Order: sequence, then C-alpha cells, then structure tokens
Amino acid sequence: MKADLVVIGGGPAGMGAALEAHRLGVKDILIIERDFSLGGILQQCIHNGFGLHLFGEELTGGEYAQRFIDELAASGIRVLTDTMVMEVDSGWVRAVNTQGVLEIEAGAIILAMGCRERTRGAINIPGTRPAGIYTAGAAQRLINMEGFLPGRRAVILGSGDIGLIMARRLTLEGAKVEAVAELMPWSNGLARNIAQCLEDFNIPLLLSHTVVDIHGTKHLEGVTLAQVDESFRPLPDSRRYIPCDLLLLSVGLLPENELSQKLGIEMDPVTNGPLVDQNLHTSINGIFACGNVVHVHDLVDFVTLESRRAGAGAAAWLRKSYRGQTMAVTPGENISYVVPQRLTLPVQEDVTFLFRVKRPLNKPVFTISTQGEQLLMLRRPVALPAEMVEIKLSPGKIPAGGDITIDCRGEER
Amino acid sequence: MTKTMTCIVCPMGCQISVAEGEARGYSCPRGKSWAEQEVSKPMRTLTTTVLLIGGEYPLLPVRTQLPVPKSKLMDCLRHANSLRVEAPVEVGQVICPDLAETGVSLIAARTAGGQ
Ligand code: SF4
Repeated sequence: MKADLVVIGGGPAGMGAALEAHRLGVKDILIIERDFSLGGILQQCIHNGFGLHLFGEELTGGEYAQRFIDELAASGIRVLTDTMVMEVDSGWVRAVNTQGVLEIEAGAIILAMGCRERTRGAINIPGTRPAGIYTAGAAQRLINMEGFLPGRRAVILGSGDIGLIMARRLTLEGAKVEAVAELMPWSNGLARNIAQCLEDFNIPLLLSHTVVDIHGTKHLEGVTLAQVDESFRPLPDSRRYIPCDLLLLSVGLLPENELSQKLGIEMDPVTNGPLVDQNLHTSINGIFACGNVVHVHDLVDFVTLESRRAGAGAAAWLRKSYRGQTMAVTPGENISYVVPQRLTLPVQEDVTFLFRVKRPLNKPVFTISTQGEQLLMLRRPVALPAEMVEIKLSPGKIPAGGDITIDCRGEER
Repeated sequence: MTKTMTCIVCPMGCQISVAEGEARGYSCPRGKSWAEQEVSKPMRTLTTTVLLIGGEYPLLPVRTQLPVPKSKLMDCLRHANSLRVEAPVEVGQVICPDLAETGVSLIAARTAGGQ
C-alpha cells in the first residue's frame, strides 16, 4: 500500500490535520484509526462547550466531531478503521487489522494518537484492590456509550475537567457524588466546569485533599480522605471515612507515545510528547505530530488549530523536503513548557506559541525575548496552570538567530 | 444584595457580580446578558443520552436545542429517559419537539447509522 500522507489516529487531531493537508492540495491521504468509528474521545464527550473558538457555537463533543466526519466523507480521504499501527519509521508504517498486516509507504506521516489517562498505579494510592475504581474517562465511556452505570455513590479524586464533567454526569444519572478531592490547593479544571458541574449540584470540592486509603475486598466499600499540608503530607487528624461503591480517578492525562518512543523521536520530558517546530515537524524527517500526542490541551478548538498547522507542514514537506537551521524556544520564569520547542528558519508565517504557567498568578505579564531583548509583551487578568496560553508572534519579530525564551511574572494569588 | 458567579458562557470563566441589577466583571456582552439572566432565571443546556433501537450504538447522545430553566433540568431528564429512538438518526434531528413542557426541543447530537 502507498499514500502521500498517512495520519495515525482519527480523533480531532488526525481529522483536522488530514483535512487541512487535503485543502492544500495533498490528494492521496490515508487515516488509520484503531476504534471502529472516527471521532476519538469526542464520541464519549456528550456534554457541550466545544467549538466556541472555531465555530462560534457551543457544540457537544459528538456534534463537533460530526462536522469533521462529514467533511472527510465528502473529501475522498481514505479511512481505515479497526486498524492498529504497530510501527512507524521515516516514510513507512506497519499496521494490523483483521485482514492481516499492512505495509504502507508514506511520503509524510502525522502522529495524532491523542492521550490516555493516568491510572491508580501512576499515583500510588494505598489500600486494597477491589472492583469499583475507574479512571474518569473509562467511566465516561461506560455511561455515555455503553449505558452502564458503574456505581451509585461516588468519590472523585482529581478535579481535572473530565472529573468535574463526570461529577455532573453521575448526578444526572441518579448517583450521589459525595465529593471531589483535589491534592493541589487549586483545581486543574476550568472555572466554568466547577460552577456548572459542582456548584449547580451542591457537590463539595475539597482542595488540598487526597485519598489515603481504599476499603473493600471484592468491591469498593469506601475511601478514607485526608487533608494534606504544603508538602502534600496527609494530616492524620483530618482523616475521614466516606462510604462509596465508586471511585473515579481524574488525575491527569499522558500523551500516547509508544510509537514515537520506539521510533526514537526526540521527546520533551515535561510534555511527554515529541519535540516539534512551528510546523509540528518532529526530529525525524517527514514525521509530524499534533494534538494531545504533543501536549495535553484543555480545549479541542486548540487541537484543531494546531492540527491544521501540522497538515500544512506536511503538505509543504511533500512539495519540498527541506529542513533549515533551527533555534530553540525555552520555558523561562514560571513557565512549565512551550510548544513548539524550536523554530525552523526561515519563519514565514505567524508563529503560535502554546504554553502553561507553573502556578496561578494575578495580572501576569508574559514576555517573549531573545538574549535579553524583548520581542513581545502581553498582559492578562489571570494565569492558571489549567488554562493553556496562546501567543502569536509575527515573522518580522523573530530574530535571525539565537534562542527565544518565554517568561511570566505577576502577583501571587 | 450582591451575587457573584462564574460565567459559564465560555472557557474564560470570568467572575461576575450583580448588584441591584447591574453586572460587573464580565469581559464581553455575552457574559453581561448571561449574568443578568442568571440572577433572574438561570438557564442550562441539558446534555444526556436516550436509548437507541437498532443502531450501531445502544445510546444516542442528545441535547436541548436551547437552554432550559435550571429548575426544570430534572423534569427534562426524566422526560428524556422515557424516550426511545429508532436508528438511523441524523445529527440535529428533533427527537422530541417539547421537552417536559419547556417548549424547547431535544435534538440528536450525533449521526448514528443502523446496524
Ligand atoms: S464574560 Fe464573556 S469572556 Fe468572560 S466568561 Fe463570560 S462569555 Fe467568556
């Protein structure tokens, strides 16, 4: 088999990248998806709030995905579902499905495998190992796609958006959510989700709290919660037992990068995703990456915009396989990471920097500079680690050499 | 009396306070009108699922076409739970024209083919 462009993953990132490459004239495109239908995680996101940036409307996850699915169907882009990619290398993909093993020659490849949830093992919760403990996303799929309610009395650990959304979902399905416990002194979810998913239903959000014990042998019977101090040590006097038959973990997402790692792509230790330039080109020629496989986004709209840049990057690479000199982009004061991590020269279009702050700040001032010289300054009312920041820099402002640093200074909250 | 609230219209999540009918703290006109509505009659969009008969999935995601009064959310949910839909369904198709006497329709939030 052969294709000019092979896109791995048929979620929002893969669909966005494929459609943009197609719009820019790449005609022979193949999307490979391991699920039986396109849409990725959006299929189980039945709540609304998607698409405000891109379409100016509040869509549900399914509605957002459907727009891309319909556009794909009309485009002539080939889609292989129920197919799992086993290995990737420059110009070549090996996949497997019920027909057997497929060897595909590819002019360019876009990695768009998304992310997965951190599990109990990743955060080391002590206690027994009964049934009734799920990641929030797994429970979301069970409830929203398979029609199975995994419990009636729940505690949610972690206040990421999926955890907040699931607190409301469980309540609407008739379960009682006793509490959402968050280890950090602030929530990692969007403020609007705390308002409309917790406050609307009087569900308590316990900041600086964690699960210190799990009870039950066959099935979960309860958890012990405790408050933690500044160094996250549980305070013994604050221990409190809560009976429940369901514990959901919403403790973060990790880019899905087995394929990238096997391939030996250069990775960013903070994002856990491949290092990319402004065209989402990885360290390996002709291999691009976009969406949650690069860094975990909080809004799908940003995933789509990033994917379009990857689609455009791949289309340009297919026209002319050339790689220029690069300059590094580094996270400075109170910035945890920046994507892209480097720029390939010459820069011809606006560069979009996406990054997160390390801790919440009021009245933050963001600066982009090179060797002490300021290229851009921007003020915002607040900066939260949960909310990705986007800053664009025009090509005229980008220096001919040297490195770029992004800093954020502001008042402590 | 001042009421403070988190605007849920967009992901910015501005803190808006309303005192004597006057809103402060919003960053855009949508937030202003939302806050004014929120103190008099809060509205929410309901998203849930209904049973899908003969479809490729057992459930069809649905939403109210417009926000419904927050006080009627549970009535709307009970009404939605009583509905059965036959596949195939197109995204946007009206599943119920008047959900729980709100005058708002319930619509399909994805396309679902038959088996
Ligand atoms: S006031 Fe405007 S900008 Fe602020 S959250 Fe509401 S809609 Fe968004």
